[in-house]
Amino acid sequence: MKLLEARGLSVFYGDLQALFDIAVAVEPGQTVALIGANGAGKTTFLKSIAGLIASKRGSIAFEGAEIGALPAEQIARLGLTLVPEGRLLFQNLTIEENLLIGAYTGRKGYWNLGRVYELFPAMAARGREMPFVLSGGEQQMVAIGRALMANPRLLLADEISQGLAPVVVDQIYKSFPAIRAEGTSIIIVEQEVRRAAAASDYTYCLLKGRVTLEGRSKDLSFDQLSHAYFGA
Amino acid sequence: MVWLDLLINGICLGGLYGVLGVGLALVIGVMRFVNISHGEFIVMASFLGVYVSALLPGLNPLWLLVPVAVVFFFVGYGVQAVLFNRVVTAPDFLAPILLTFGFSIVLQNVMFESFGTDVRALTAGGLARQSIAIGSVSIGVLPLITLALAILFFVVLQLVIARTGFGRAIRATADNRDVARLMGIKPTRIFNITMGFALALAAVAGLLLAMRATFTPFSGLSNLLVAFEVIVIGGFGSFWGALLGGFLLGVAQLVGLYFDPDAGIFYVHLAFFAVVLFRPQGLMGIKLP
Repeated sequence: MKLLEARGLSVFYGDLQALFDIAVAVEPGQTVALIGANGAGKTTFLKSIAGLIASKRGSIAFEGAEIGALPAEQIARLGLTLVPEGRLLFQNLTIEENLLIGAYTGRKGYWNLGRVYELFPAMAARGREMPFVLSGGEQQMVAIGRALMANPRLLLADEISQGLAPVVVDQIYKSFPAIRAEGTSIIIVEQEVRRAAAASDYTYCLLKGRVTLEGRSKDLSFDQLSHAYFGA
Repeated sequence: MVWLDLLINGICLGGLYGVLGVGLALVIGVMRFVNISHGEFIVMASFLGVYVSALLPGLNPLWLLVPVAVVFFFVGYGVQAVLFNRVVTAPDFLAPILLTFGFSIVLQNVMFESFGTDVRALTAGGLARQSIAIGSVSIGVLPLITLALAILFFVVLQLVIARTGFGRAIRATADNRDVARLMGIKPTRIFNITMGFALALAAVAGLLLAMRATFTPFSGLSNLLVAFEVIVIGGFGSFWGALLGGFLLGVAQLVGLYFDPDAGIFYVHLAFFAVVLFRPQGLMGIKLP
């Protein structure tokens, strides 16, 4: 059984259609990359999977159960967690409180406060500080840690390297094997094609709301990818 | 010594004003929702207090605080769940104002139909007349109890919001509803409980107010006015600001009455006006603790 399977997924913003008949599948344990230019519909896709967009058609199955009609808070309880674009840490909460609130669903598993601090040691000493003191990369670590606290089966990471220095991005990508090792599958949304392909097992390329290319990441050539990416 | 007397009694009264405002401040802070009918709920609690104490003669009305607050917690939870949640996320900012304004008129008229327009008060028995003398200053026992309760409520509310998991969920929801949902938090449930707390505090204010002043079914508006002034002076959404704002208004009222016995709460509004003129952002910040 697939972990996630979206079929015929179309999403609408009022009269505007943002996604057209998307079919995406994630196997258990897999890392899937979703690439595409600005406005291709990557964020829209993740948001609709996570239940933040109600106006959609098609089917979304998570661990075999249809979740397309569920609200975001119920989907979160099933073990599907979104790291939103721009991190969006809670500014009223300390860093540690941001992590703790990730465990609100009470899902049991490997991840807890101590393990997240092991994964991102730099955060351990800063739990009592407020998020605005952190650099972009550190905020991203807290955002990922917050999502891990829910012990998700599937982690959706939106624009994970947006606005971050390459060194910092490396550091964040280095945390993925540890996350996968604990049985969590990942969908990475990324604009940097090469990095996404290298970090994933399977790649989907979106262009203007449609899947223009998909395949095992190591089988896709850079030419294929850039063609699908730009539609040229 | 007159000044000390006015100051201390003004602070006691101000504690009550703080409780009057803090429920409203809590709701505004958590769900960006202005409940115009907040004052009517205060009056309804006063009526409930009057009727229950008529049924149980001789009972010190302070004993009613907890049961009435519990009743109003559930009233708040229910009203939010059934009615207010329909407009909390409305894109039109007028929708919550129109709904709660209309609801306040409905409540006023229900109270008017049920209880008439007689002026009422909750008699606190001997407690209302007792006072302790410290040096040459005389402080009423009831105002002192009111102040102690007000401070207790502020401390408890602060602790709940700042230290508990539920408080964390409240702050997260206040910050960003959608991201809170991604954590598995159901915002409408948070809103229901928040309104429950807000109206429980309103009920406490209503009982304490009825022990020191008279009221009619139409007193809600002046309660709302004071509640608004308290939180605007304090700075929107700041709990401790609301208490400080209450103190300032209480002292202003008693000092005003000392010099001008017919002034009523004119000097309360004057103090409010002065703060808005010279410190429009309020005494304290705009953030939740």
